[in-house]
Amino acid sequence: MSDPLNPFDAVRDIRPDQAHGDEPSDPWLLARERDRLLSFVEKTPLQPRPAWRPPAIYPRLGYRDERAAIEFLCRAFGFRERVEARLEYDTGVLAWLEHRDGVVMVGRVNHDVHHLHSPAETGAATCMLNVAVDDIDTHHDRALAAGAEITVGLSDTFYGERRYEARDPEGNLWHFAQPRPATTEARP
Amino acid sequence: MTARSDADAIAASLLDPKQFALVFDRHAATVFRFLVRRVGRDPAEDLLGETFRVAFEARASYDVAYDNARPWLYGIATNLVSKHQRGRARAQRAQSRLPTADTATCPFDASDAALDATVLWPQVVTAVHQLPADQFDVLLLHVWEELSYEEIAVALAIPVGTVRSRLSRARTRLRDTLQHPTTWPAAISTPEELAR
Repeated sequence: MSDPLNPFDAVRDIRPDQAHGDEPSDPWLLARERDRLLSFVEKTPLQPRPAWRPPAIYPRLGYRDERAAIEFLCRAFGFRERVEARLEYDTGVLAWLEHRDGVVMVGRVNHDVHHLHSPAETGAATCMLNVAVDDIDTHHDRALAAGAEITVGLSDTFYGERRYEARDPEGNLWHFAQPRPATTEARP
Repeated sequence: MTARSDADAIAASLLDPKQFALVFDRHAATVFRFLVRRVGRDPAEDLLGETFRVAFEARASYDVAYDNARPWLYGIATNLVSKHQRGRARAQRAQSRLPTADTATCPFDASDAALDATVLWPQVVTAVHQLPADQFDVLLLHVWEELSYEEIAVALAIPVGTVRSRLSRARTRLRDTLQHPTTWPAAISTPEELAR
């Protein structure tokens, strides 16, 4: 019997399957509904996605192992690949990874045509990628857990953002930041 | 290789719609149990199909920042339950002179009938039904479906703070009602009260 002073316990008690035992699972019903869904899915014409316009400026990053880089950037930093844009070549993959309205292009190093190297080859990065995120603390913890090398720890800056910096497995430098609430509030 | 997230499957289904079947395979049983609790077995079968058709058509607007699609599906299902119950209330009002034969589709009727020997539960049922609809949905997602505050916020597209305040108001209100039995109404009497 529930404690009448804890009304949520009482609400839990009146859940129908709490009182009568769980609904028997019904694989036949689920299989039928799955078939219906798939036939609906097949009949639905593909809606073309709105024409994609990449930003006027965006970087192309060269990696020695671009497949590993794509996997890492999505897992550690929360990028999403624009899968329909991916190009597969004999010599590697070109992928576009998005975050909000930003995009980075990720491919294999290319010394001959594009003269593009990885920091893992040159020994140093010559640019830093700046990324605005919504929840910097969660983002930081996720990157750390995924094995990103934190180069500047999570901290508040005098100019009003909370940020950290990290190196990806081939040495590209990433700066992640969130505006601090106190500095973004409208002042009368 | 890590398992594909729902977000990945939904993104892939934009080009290859059959990929959406993965979302069904992972969540249909849960969504179905939720629907049975809310509307009873027969309407739940219809609403299960409808939930996934609506989800499929809305997949382009899915926020891929959320790996797990379950809260999103709960949100769609909750909306369909509200729509279903509004329609049912209208239909019953329209023929209010006739005896209402199909009230068995409301799970509260079933549990009410099964448990009328108990002292407490019918009163809880009544108290829950007297909550405003916005508190009612949040309460059941929290207590029956065991969604976190964050998941409820995603499901109903409301801020987490609103989830907290609705639950807190529901808790206060339920406690008041259950502690002051003289204010209990005799019973749930009208289909409008049942069909929320």
